[in-house]
Amino acid sequence: MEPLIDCRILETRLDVLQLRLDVPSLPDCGGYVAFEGWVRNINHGRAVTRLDYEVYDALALKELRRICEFAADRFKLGFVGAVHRKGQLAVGDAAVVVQVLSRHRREAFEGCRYVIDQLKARVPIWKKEFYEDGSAVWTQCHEHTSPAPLTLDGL
Amino acid sequence: MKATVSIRYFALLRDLAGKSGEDIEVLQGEPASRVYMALAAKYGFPLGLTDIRVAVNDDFSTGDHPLKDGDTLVFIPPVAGG
Repeated sequence: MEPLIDCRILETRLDVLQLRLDVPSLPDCGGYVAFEGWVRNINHGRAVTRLDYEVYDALALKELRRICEFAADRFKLGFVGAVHRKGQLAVGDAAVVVQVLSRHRREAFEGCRYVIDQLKARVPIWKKEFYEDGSAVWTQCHEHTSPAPLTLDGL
Repeated sequence: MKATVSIRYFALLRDLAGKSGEDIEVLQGEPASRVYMALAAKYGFPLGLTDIRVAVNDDFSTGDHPLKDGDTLVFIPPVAGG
């Protein structure tokens, strides 16, 4: 059966409990793993007051879907959900939620980790951090890479 | 021959350009990387060609992509999702 994929970019607050309810019931899947990424109040030793996420929607959704489809195939996942925020976020807000279902736990853990790692490295989403001293900086993912096909690097 | 391409700016590049996009005239077949270098000089983009990715018509491409009339062009600075 084709894996179920749910990729979204949302401008409103992520309701993580509702996202959990959106996960389908798949009778052949016995493992569920989720990752939630939240806005921290500190980064590289600087006090963060809020974040702005900017998204190149058309390409971000396309690339996110490619990552999820690749992960579903590679890790035999029955469901992959990846939802990311855009706009202004406060400390404590959820920025990203990845949820996967698989037959067994190992594939669920590995598949979930693969999706969040690839999302951070490849999907055109940017983060501006605002600091307590009034300054702001566009931050950079350390794994940002030049164009490359999806691979299993880093597993 | 001239071609008009539509550029969209995001994140750091949008801040430095002071706008979210613009239409510019290029030579038909001009590589995307040459357009980036011209814009980097004009707006003071600090990123080199190895630091950015190129998207043409909402899909990843490469710096040597030959531009044609009506293309949408995005230069992608280092990403930071998650």
